[in-house]
Amino acid sequence: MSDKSDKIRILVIGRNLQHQAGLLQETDPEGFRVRVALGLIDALDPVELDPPDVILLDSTESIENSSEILMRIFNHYVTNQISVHTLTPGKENSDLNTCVDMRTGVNQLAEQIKSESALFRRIKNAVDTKRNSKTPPPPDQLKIDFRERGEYLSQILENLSGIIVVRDAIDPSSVYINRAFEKITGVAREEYYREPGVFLRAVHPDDRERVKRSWLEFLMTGGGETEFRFQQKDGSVRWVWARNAAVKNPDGEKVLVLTIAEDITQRKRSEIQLMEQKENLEEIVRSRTIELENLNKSLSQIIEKQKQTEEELRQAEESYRTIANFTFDWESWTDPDRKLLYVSPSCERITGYTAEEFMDDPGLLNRIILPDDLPPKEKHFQDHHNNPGIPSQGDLKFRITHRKGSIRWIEHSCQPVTNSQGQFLGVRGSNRDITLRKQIEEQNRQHRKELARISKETTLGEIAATIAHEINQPLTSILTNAQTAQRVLEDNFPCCPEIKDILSDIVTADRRAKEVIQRIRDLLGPKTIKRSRVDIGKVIAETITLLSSEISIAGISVHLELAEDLPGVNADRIQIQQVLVNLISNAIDAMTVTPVIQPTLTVSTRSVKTNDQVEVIVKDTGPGINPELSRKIFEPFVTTKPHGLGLGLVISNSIIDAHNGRLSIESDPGQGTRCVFSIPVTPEDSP
Amino acid sequence: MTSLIETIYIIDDDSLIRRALSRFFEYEGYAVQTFESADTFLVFNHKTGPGCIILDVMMPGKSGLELQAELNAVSSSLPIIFISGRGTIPMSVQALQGGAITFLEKPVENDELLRVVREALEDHRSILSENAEREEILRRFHTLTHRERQVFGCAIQGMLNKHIAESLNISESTVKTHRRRIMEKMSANSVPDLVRMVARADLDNFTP
Repeated sequence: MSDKSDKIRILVIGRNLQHQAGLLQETDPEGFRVRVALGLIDALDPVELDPPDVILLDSTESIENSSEILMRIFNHYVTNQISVHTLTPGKENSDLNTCVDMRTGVNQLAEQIKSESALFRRIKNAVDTKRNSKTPPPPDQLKIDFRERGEYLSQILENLSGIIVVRDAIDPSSVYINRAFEKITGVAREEYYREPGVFLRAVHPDDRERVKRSWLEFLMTGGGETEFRFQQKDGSVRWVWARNAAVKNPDGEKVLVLTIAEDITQRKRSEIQLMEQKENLEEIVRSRTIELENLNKSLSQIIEKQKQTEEELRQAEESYRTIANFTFDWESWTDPDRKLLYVSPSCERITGYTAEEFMDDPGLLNRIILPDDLPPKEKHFQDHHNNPGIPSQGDLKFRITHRKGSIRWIEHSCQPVTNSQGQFLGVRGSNRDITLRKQIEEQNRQHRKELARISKETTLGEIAATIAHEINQPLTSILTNAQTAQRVLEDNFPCCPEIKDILSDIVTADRRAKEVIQRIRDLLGPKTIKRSRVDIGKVIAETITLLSSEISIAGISVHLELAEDLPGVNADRIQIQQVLVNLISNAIDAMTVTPVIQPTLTVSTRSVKTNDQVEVIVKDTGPGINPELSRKIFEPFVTTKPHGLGLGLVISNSIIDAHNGRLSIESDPGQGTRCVFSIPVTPEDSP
Repeated sequence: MTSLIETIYIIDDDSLIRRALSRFFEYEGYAVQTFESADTFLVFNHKTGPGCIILDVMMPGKSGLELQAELNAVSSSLPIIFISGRGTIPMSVQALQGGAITFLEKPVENDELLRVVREALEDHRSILSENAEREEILRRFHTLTHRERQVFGCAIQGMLNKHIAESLNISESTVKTHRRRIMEKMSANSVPDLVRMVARADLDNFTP
């Protein structure tokens, strides 16, 4: 770095900038020494022989064709820390509106510079900054305000396996590089801080060109990524995948410039291995064409598969990088006194309030929390600040009111942060928006409630009817026998008063029992059918939704084969839904109790024109019902389920019966079960 | 008129009920046949004499209502009394629409059951005698010649011999001869007798 003269050496490149060059020289003849190169080729000599402090480059100078020269200029930029600015000269000489600081790639100079004096001030500042930074920076380079939150961040950054270079966008000499750099390049960080050029020198000679090119691309376009090798002193090589990114604050100003370089040596090795394998293979195939053709094919498949694995690996890396750059959850850091140190910008997405609003107004969070949820939240925060040590993993859930008025569910996790001495530094909190999850939970709860209600409604009635039937049978024979006996006694043994009384009491007791049962039936008995026109396809779809969680838990695939323009049926919608719930639940249970391969539930409908009925078929691929059980499947309290009541099919049967329909069940053991029921079409839909 | 002994067919899957009912009806002097299912009743070739069915509704296999429908399909004349332990209103409506005598709730009072059974048997007896009479009339009618049937048709419409002779294009004396033969063959004393027979045997639409 030549520093013989106090004058600031400025090299202006581009014939269109001659006017600016003259102006610069005039502005400060003592401070500036301005040279003009009419084109990039002309600039080469002055750059290499007498490196300037600042380069002003006409951005309209063709970049593509002159990349070689730009690269060389860039070399000096890296090693001598020349500040390079590009200008776009307008029609009027003073119209200097685009000015990108190539060194940082940051648009900080891109703001409208209305006057040339502003440009000169910029240049002077840049030069001053450069001069001040000539002394080697202290080893803990990260001067940015990371000191406070740096403890957290650097803990994370230090332990990342990839190289992270963080530069302050305003002051590019303020730079941090993590420990992974040492591992991957074999170069100590202190060396880098002293002399940033070691970065490029650590790059494998064959790849340096590419690295520079990608850096240029980033400076020009703000994007770009590259794969290259670091060569360590002992000759060993590490492959990295590198990307540059600018980190913006919520106002869109660039704050940090990040360079991330992931170690992909492992992947590269297997890629190279694969390439070699494939080449070898092709060689063999060439020499032994026919018999090895099949082998080639299968190996290609293996290679394909391996490539797929690599792709997956790559994708995993990609998502990891995304996480590093951008937090989706609403993160916050608080110090031991619960003072808020940091809120991630994503809080705006979740709450509608910006990070600044949270930082400026410490009471904001508690105000948007629903009053009912505030005490547990306060207790949680207090506990985790007073007794740090236990991380919480979503133990706390609370609701907030979004700026726009909607209620959002938040799941809060937190963990204490300590420095290397174990001193408690605060709490890192992470708030996740779980509103959607809560909504789904609520929907499921409602579904379950409805399901329970539907089934309770008919189960009780069915129990009453079943008990009535079961008890009425013996009551019938008792009454008939007793009254026959009374008759026989009267005709043949009129002189036996005791037996006469006994029989009379039996008859009375029997009649009383009959009345009791009648009352129970009246109370709980089957409700009257509320018939209306029912679209059976719709009821089927609703029922599938109702049971969707059971279906998905059991991993069952559902096929709906619903006939189009099916006539409506004349039925009680709720009762028909109950039948469907029963039949479909049975199908699910059948395929759950005994695991089957590819469990499939098929629900189909068809119109039976001959008797104006609609037929619904519920088919499963479960183990089927054994023939012995199959015969008494419609009897009450017959069940295959450990906790079943044995009423589902009885209820279904009596519902379908009451609708003048018919329910039948066919089952081949090992082939699954097929339930078919039919219901008459509504009068208005029948021809 | 048949004077065969009246038979009561009891169809119920509960053996205790079958025994109790058959004990009662046998004591009352009826012949009783019991069946444990609709199908066993259907395969049984029951007698043609007067009788009635006491039918349970809920049974394994065919239900009572299904049996009723099958019997109706083969024009069985046997009256049916339904008894059910879990009958519903729609069930009883269906049963009565299908021609059942009545629909009783279990347990059933003997007196009530006896009363409806007697009613049913009475019904069946008259059905059977009507059937027998109809068959007899039909048998006689089939002995008439074509010309006699033509004269028969005109006579029951109240046409005079002269008009019959004109419309059939035969002599009046021939008409008289046919009339005498018709009265003999049909065992009728007068034209009103013939009209009554036509009504009894549903001969309204007979073709001369």
